[in-house]
Amino acid sequence: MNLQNLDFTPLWITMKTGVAATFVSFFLGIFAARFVMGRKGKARAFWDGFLTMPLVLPPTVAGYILLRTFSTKRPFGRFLANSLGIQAVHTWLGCVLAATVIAFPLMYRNARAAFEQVDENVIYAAQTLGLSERTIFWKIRIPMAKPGILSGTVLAFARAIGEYGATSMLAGNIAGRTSTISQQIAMVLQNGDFALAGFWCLVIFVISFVCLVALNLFGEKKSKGKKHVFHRKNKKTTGSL
Amino acid sequence: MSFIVKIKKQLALYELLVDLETEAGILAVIGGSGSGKSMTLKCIAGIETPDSGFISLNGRVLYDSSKKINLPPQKRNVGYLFQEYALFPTMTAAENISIVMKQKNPVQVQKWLEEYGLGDYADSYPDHLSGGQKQRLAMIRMLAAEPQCILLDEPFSALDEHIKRKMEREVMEMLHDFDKPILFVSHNQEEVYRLADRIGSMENGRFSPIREKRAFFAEPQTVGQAKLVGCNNISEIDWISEDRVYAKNWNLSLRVPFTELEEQKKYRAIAIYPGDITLYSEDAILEEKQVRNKISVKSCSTEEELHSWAVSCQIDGTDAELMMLLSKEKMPSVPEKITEIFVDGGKIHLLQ
Repeated sequence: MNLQNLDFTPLWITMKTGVAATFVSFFLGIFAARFVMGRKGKARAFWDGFLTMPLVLPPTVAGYILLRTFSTKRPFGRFLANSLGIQAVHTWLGCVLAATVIAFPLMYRNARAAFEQVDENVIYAAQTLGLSERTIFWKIRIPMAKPGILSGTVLAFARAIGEYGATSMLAGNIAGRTSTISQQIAMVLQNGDFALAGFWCLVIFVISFVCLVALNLFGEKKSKGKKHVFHRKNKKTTGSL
Repeated sequence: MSFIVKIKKQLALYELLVDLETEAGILAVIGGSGSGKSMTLKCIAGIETPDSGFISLNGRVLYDSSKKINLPPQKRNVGYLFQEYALFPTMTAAENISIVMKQKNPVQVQKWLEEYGLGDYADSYPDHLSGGQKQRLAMIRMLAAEPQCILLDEPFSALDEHIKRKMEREVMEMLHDFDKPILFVSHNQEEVYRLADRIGSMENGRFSPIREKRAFFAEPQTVGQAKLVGCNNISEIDWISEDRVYAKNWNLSLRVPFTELEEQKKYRAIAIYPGDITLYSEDAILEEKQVRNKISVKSCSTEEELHSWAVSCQIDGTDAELMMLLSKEKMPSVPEKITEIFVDGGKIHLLQ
């Protein structure tokens, strides 16, 4: 293995995929959390189950469903390709789609848990004080849920950059286009190149670990920051008469 | 300035049934936990929806089930002070206030903060404020939204006794110039007596007619009210004559205030304040000769309280107990053996 000749495109493809999938999951997850919280009873149970499925399904099953949906040999995929020029199979878009589907439940569940932990009385108070539902959501509920939303985002990113099963089925492993690090690892391992596979394993390991440690440090700093108290308390003017 | 609330709502344990009409000034609603007090406030504020009824504030209809009017909380202009203050934790004190103001005015915000001793805390987050400071901030925030009436939901009940009175005074000072209706909900009789002008009670979702506070405490009218004001010796009755009843729970025949025959069926129970039972057959200072009931008792147990002796006496021939409170000042010690206790007929309250 020679680092100078190493092709780094899998790293860039992985990072690009991770960022794009996290970006999409972030908004979809928050939207879905808000949507499910607004349902009651059976509808709520159904939607929550449906939206959580990708977390528990084998990624290959998710990959199969995506492939059957977006295949250009089938009506929906053909429609997308012919009318809108969108093609998910064997493209980078497929990487993003697969990673998004797999990472989404982490964002959704963390966001929902964070929203539900917000003290309802604070929301009621905001309503009686005349704040609009939109203001309450963006200025009060989201900031109060920030730690949970942040951890959902980081977990979604970490999951997205490690996605393998669904990605390999939908996007395939095309060098320079859809070959992510996790697919690269599988491929070079099949060729018997343990050193290169190990290198990529290390890369993924380091990125994921840094994300999680950064998340923990941020959470700690946040709670420490709350303790700097009474900064101006003793400021008294000592005038003489 | 009139405030009308007539609502019905089926709850798990009972039906909430409120019918009240009030003007500017403080109306207290006293009731035990789970009596429906908070639910009533939430229906008024629009956080909960009644099954049917009508709510109007100064001629403005907030809720009318027959006309399908149900304003959202945002449109009701009802100030609601929560027990835990419900400040916005991610905003500074100044931001907590300015976000609710219709016309943003940082100078006014700072003026308010300074007026109520929070001038140095404009940039502090609620977590950094003491309980008293949080309460003042919540009050400023509520008033900054210019409410047309105010609801106070047990604002002092979570506080320690020594700071409670100080906070009560502070809140009352802040509300001094508020010339609109204030509904104050509490389970604490003394708090209610100190702060309110008029009192209504709530039991099992039923709201009683509003009365002047002294009358409310001096003459409880229902079993629930008697319990709420501490008139704890309660028995069901049968009438024997126009001024005599048989107290079923105590197996006693007692003289009570004279009541016409047709009035009698209104009353189903009697109650006696623990402080109205004495050990003496006659008091030197008794203004008017009254008929004093004599009650024979078996055994008494005494508990020493801060300012009084709480004596529970078992009535002869029954398991029932009567509780009396004897002032420690007047009586340095309680007699070892008590065989008879007394209560004036005029001090026995007839309950509906």
